[in-house]
Amino acid sequence: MKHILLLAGIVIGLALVPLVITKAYILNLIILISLYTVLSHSWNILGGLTGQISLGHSTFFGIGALVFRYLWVMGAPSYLALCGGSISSLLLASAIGFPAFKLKGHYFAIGTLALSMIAIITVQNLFPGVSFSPPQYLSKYSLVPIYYMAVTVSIIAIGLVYALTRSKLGLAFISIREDEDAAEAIGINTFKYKVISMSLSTLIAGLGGGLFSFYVASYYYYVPFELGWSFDPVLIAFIGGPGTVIGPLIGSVCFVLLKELFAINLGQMNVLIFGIVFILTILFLPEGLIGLMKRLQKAKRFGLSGRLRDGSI
Amino acid sequence: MLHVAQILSYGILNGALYGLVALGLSLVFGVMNYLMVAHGGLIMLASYTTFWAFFYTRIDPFLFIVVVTPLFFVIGWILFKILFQSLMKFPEGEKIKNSLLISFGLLLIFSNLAILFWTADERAVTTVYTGKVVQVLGVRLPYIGLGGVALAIIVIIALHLFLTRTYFGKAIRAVSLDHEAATLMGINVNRVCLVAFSIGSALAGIPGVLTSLNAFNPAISFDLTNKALIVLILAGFGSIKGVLIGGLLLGAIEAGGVYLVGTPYREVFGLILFVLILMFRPQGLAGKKA
Amino acid sequence: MEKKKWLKKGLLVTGVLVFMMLTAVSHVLAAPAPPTIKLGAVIALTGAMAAGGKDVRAGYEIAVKHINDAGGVFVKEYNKKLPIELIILDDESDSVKTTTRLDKLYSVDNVVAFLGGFSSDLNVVGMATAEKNKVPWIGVTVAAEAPFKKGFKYIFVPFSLAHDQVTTFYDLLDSIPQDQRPRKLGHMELQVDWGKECGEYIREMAKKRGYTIVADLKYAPPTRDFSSLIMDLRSAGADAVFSVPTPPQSIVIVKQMKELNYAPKMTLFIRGPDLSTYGDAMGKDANYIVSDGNWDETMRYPGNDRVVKDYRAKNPDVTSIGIPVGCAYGAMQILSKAIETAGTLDREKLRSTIGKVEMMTVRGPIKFRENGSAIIKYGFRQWQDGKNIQIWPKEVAVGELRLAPPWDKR
Repeated sequence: MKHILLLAGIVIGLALVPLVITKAYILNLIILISLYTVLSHSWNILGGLTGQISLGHSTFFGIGALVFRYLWVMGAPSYLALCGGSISSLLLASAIGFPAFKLKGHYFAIGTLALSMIAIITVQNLFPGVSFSPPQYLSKYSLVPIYYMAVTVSIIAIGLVYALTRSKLGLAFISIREDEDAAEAIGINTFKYKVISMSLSTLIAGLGGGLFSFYVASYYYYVPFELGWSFDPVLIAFIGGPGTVIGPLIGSVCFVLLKELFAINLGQMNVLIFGIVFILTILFLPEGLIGLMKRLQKAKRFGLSGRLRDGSI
Repeated sequence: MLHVAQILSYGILNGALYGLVALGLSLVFGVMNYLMVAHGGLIMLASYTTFWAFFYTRIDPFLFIVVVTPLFFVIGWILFKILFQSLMKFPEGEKIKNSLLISFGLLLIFSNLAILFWTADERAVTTVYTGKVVQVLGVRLPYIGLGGVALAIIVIIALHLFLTRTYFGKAIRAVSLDHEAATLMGINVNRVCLVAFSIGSALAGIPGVLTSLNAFNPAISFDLTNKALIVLILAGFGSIKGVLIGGLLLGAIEAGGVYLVGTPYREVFGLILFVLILMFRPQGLAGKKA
Repeated sequence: MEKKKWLKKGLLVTGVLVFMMLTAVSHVLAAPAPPTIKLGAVIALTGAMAAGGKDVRAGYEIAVKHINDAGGVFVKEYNKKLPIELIILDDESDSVKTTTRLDKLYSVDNVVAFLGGFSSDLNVVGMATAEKNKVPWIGVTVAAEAPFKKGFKYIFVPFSLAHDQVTTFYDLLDSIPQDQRPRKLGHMELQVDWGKECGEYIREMAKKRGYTIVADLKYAPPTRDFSSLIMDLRSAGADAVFSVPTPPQSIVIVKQMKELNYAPKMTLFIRGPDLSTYGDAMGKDANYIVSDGNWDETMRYPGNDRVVKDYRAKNPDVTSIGIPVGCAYGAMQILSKAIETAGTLDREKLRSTIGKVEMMTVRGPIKFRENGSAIIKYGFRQWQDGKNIQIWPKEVAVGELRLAPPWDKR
């Protein structure tokens, strides 16, 4: 169908990009966008679809990065290390994440925040140094394989969320988000589905962490555990449109490109201006960027029913 | 033994500060369900205000409280009118989400404005009584720390009296229980939220003063907010006294943690216990079950 | 049906948005390059490291101004003087952005060389980026030694490293007359790479040089309460203390030392008390604290007066100029000398030339080692009567080390 052709076209286009664009900076930007898309979608599964607002995703992101780095420096091929990172995230989630479901709503949010604070302080103490890429790799460093990994991982993340929004599993998630007690009442085992949601979410977060670790030539071990990595995806998903497939993608694009634009042109004021633009966006687009799209759609279809439905349910 | 008493005393003094830091946040959240994460930013700005006032006029920070508190009441008023008032009409979920986002944007703006105006250099107010202590049975208790405890107690009592003895205070409590019911009773919910928000902002002034006497820079906005959130959840919703108790408890746990896990893991110990407490009491220490 | 339409529309809109943004960004990128020597620096202008970042920036900018006032740097390849164009970007104290933005300066602006930012945390990442892009990198405020053990060829750091700092610490102690000399050392190790490196050296050299470490304690960057550490130092009788606390910690520790009535004869804190506002923040309590002395405004090295004058013209309210200013200026001096010597803007030739530069800068004589670190004169300053003055080494000192009396006698 046209639909599949369009998607195929996009994928092929993305695959050809490194052959056409030589400026490393553009590749960098696309990789960053992918990184944030993956992380936002990982949060989106748990927060957007299932309604469990987590502020602790940096923990799973970080552990993915840590394990990836370890395996990769040991000589494992990058995609294998990536899987390792992803699975370690899941393992960590089963230890500390699932029990967190005893907490609800704001308590869950702040509880997960506490987890991420525990994680970063612990990692800072245990691994205070820098992880350098092996020298032989550094001299042959190229953004191209990183780019392909970034695109692959993004497609996985987006694809997973897309599949969820069209599946019974996703429906279960959403019912928990809308009204957990009612869901429980009609026989949905909310704990089981929350666990599945978090599992998928942390697997993706671990992928993101591995990608991060692959991307940066050297970094301090604690950097992917920084709380910014917990907050930014939440902001991006909320602004883009939580619970949607496109929202986190659009959000990531705007987030990364806008920040770069400001940083290049505005010097010391760049974060300030970004903050102001951010607030203005929320005030005038309270439904997020998806809301903007809805409004444009409404404007085009003047007179037809206002209740248009986007990719979410 | 003296060692333990000294460490624990510091823990309690810190705890009083934690409680004060969380107080404004707790009030705002209780009344209108806004997670005002920019509260740490307000405290930071209050610290800078106190610092510059001291720098130019040498006015004592504790005395300055009578200036900084009304000042931040006004600032809160303005912020609410410009930014948050428009959110009142949204349904619950949207309201919380958008207030969270706007607050986060404010946090970015506050800390970057501070860097632009005053640079990111570390600041502190050092007065004649900085470092001076009163000795009780060999334990050294700094005047400033004791001042913090006294302030915490005074503010809690004042707030309690306000909320229980005045009409407006009772209106605030009514609104925090149920917006619709309050409206039906003839309370102007919008006005109550406005005032409550402004009071919450004013309550940033006091920990601001205390922090200025310690050490601060624009980046503490984030650390203070984190601390406030932890204490807020530890205390649970619906209790002002719980906030102070939560803060003191956290301070004491961190202090005790030094003996068990050592200084580098002090905060981790506090956080782990925080999480464990939540596991056993998911609604917080003094919170009411949903 | 509806949903598919939305997905398609969504992807289309995304595509359009990305295209627009990239166009806007590339519009910025596509600006034609004037005939200048393009240098790039990514510095922390916002975020946690911004305090030192602004000092580094100030040093570079004053240097560029001086060089361009004289017409620029003479490049033999073009047989003329070319002005320097220094592009500075903010990294928001985020090491990921350090990498990305350095990449932008490399792949878009085609800078000839990189200049470093502020703090080991960000610079170490910047150094690796320079290495992978094969762009010469010169920077200051890096004290961690790990990067120098990696065989990097493109990095140059005219600044003190952990080894210099600890050695000079012992030198300073040795200079105190025997009867007053502290022999019992207290060491508080900050759990970061630089802090641990210093710790290793402190322990290694203590016995050899005739000192004992009576308290060896640990703390981490988020630590805000030092009561138990200070009490341990006090009960062990440590009369000299060494540590590398963060700026907030360097204030809190001293305040708590006063509260707990602990006054070692000498307290050496590197990093916190060497930034400009320490004296304003601490008042009299800053006195006697010894801190980093990589550079000071009173140094008599050629050109230093001019640096100080220009800096004070732009920043009249600063009581004590932060050390990164002079160090950053020195780095730019070295780079421009290297460009001149190499006679070309070719990066490879420049790289090999920088390593051979031996010159006198505003912070003293510099000579590089094979691994990019530098042989420099390192010293200390001490806060005395509200001013931070150079007390070591003797050649550049304007005052002498004062040992601290107990708190109630100050």
